[in-house]
Amino acid sequence: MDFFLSNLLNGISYGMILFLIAAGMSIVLGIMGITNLAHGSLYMIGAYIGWTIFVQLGMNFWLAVFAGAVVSGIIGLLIERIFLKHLYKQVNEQVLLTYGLVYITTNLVTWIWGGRYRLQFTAPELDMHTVNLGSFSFPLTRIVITIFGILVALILWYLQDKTRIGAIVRAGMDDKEMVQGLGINLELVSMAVFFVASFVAGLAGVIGAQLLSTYPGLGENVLLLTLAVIIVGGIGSIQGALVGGLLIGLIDNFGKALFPQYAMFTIYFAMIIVLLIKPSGLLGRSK
Amino acid sequence: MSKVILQKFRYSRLVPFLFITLLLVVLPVFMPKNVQGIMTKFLIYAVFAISYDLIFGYTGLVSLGHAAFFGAGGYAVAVLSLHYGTNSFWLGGILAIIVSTLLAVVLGFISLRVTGTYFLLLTFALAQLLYSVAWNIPWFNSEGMQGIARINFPSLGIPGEIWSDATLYYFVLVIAVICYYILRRITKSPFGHALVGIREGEARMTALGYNTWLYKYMGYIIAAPFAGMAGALFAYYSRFISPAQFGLGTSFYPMVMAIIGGTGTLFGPVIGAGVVVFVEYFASLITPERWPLILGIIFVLSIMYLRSGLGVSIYKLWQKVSNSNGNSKS
Amino acid sequence: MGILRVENLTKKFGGVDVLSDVTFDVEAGERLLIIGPNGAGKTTLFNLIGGQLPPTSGKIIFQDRDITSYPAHQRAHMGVVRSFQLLTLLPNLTVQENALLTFHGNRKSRLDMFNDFHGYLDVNNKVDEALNMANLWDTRNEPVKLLSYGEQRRLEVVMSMVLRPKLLLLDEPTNGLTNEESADIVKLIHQLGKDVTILVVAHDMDFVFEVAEKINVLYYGGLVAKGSPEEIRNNAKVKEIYLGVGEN
Repeated sequence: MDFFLSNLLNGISYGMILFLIAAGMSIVLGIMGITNLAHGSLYMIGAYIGWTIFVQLGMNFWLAVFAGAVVSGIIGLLIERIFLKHLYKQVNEQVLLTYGLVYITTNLVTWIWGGRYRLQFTAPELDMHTVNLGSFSFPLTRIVITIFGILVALILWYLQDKTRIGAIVRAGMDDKEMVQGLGINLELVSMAVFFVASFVAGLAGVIGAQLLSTYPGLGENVLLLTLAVIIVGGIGSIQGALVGGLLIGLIDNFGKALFPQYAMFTIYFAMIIVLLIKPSGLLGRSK
Repeated sequence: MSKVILQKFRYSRLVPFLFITLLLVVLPVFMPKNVQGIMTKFLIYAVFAISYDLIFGYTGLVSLGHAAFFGAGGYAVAVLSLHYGTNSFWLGGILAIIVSTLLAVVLGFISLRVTGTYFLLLTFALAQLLYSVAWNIPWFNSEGMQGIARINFPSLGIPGEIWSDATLYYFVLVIAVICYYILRRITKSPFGHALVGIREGEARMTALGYNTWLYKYMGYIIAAPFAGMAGALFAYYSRFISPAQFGLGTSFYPMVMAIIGGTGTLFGPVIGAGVVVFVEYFASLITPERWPLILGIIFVLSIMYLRSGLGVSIYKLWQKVSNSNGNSKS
Repeated sequence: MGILRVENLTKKFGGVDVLSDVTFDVEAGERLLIIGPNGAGKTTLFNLIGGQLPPTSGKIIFQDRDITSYPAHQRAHMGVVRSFQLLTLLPNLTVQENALLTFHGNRKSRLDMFNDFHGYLDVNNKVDEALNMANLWDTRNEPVKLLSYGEQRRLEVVMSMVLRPKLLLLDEPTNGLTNEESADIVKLIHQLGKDVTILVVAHDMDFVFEVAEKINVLYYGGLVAKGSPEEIRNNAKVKEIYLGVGEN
């Protein structure tokens, strides 16, 4: 029972982090039609900013979370404005360019922060405390992460399905001219979506630092995880990112626990199986 | 359909090809030692890049996982060296080709289930899977380290053969020329042109009678052994193979080279390989730590501004020049 | 049964019946025109016959074989040639390259990896024939996108013909053409022999009556009338559809 519960919670909390990262990418990719491989790097930048604020400068953890989110949001916005705006519907160029940005960020990060490895940090109050249920104790960090994830999921889902903004975004990428013809400032909407996606990624970076730690290669590794999530869950919806994230999180944790030698491969197996059976992802729309 | 007479092969077409080969034979003699090594590296990456151009430039398949085949070739050689104590090129080279081709049969089938961005993501993920395998499974690693070290020069089984950096260069040159020639023939063939057609308009090609999925699959499989051979040569050259040869950075190289030099031209990626390898080298002399940064910035800028690539721009320039030489202004 | 039989063909998109229960025969060598107002399902019908889309239900029988599940490229090899409503010539490739690819499609050598693409004399001959017929020999090295719309349309129609199809599907072949250009197309169609069966989707009534031996009328996905041009001209239901006013 203990085994099951601890892996369950670990899987869910880890999955929540994955969801937070993947949600932004899924919306940007699935609805705006923009491939941004640097999304993982935005997560990493958030984590590094958070580290600087919290560990180096010794300030409040939640301030660090906010700072990480904001900086990532701004950088994401800049990427959209300076580069991606000009590459409307040119998938190849988007891929190559954002890939170049991943490369650049990884090196920049090494330059600025050095190759320091595996920085893990979180708010002291979260780290020290546990919640006890009977004989079993859950670290508070993981519970907070899970709650955060659920909150963000609800907010984003609400935005996506229930607001005018959501509908605009969904329409906007299919037919840009049409939507603009309706008097809607698509540029502004585009910028807003990108900012929010990057903001959430940066936020996840700081919160998840305890679980995923922080190092220059994080951008690439997170990218891989994000891709796993959206391949499994399906592109283009919050629900897909959530389902994908939770599944990958659970598979990863239970996989590591049950088959330690194959721990590395469980995620890949999940991806490949989904791709062979339902290429558009579990919650994705089949073409 | 009775026997069809094909036009005679025009030998005049070989001239620029031979000229450049000659150049590559003679040039290293005039270069300092360390630059010679860079030339070998350039040739190896050129083969990797032209292999990639077949699927990326010609067919339009954006794969982020071509390193899977490069790494497979490299590890084939490395494993033979580590576990079977042989550095025979006959064994290593052929094993590299077989392994990378079989890998492509499997990976290609999985990857081509999807298209567009999905395809890209999947090829990336599959290469990462191999990275993970190479990292974790002890059999693929030398004692106490990550990767396989102490790979020797290749051996051809000729009594009294002596290998040096120079012989390795010329050996690699021969193989590179052969690979280029074969790929050239393929791109000029009906198959090669069909790949271009599929890139430009798959729906029409299907309606014309081309089984487009089959073409993409075959193209993917044919490109692989060349990348595998490049990987094998890489193992002999750097004497060391690591999981990084399966990684994102390695998959990155042929794409950068193709873009910089001009996709879909075969000679473009060769030029791109030259540019990248030499810029890397010179940048590393100037700023030993920051050169990847510079390369990344050049790459990003060339995506934004230099669309058709250096190689194509040079080619167009040459055409303009040779045209104005041939015409007399009236 | 003629060369083509379409049986109970139905195509649904989501909840919409784009084609419902369409059945008709086509005799070998016939010139059959498919007409109907916009949205009647004409192009969808062609997409089903050509293999671009699978039907929701129903059968397509070509030369006594059930080809309903055959992929498009296979139908091409059986002699079904399709031209599209929106031009599908490869815009960045030259006229000649487009033609070479078109005429190589039916050849076994299309999978050949070692011989020069430009060295197949029979293909080159077909290319020459098509380019001359379409009057585009002089522009053969131009990228197709630089040609005028009329020239591109002409090229596509001519190439379809030079392929010597058994069944030729022409989707709006005179769309966007001037009267002169349309007349050229009509001339080209008349030049084809009885070994080619031609199905045409068209809007232009003058064109329709100049080419048709038989006419099928589609309306909201259903086949509402079929017959000779005279019969159709006098058909009350057809008049109602096109003129919008019903008598009686």
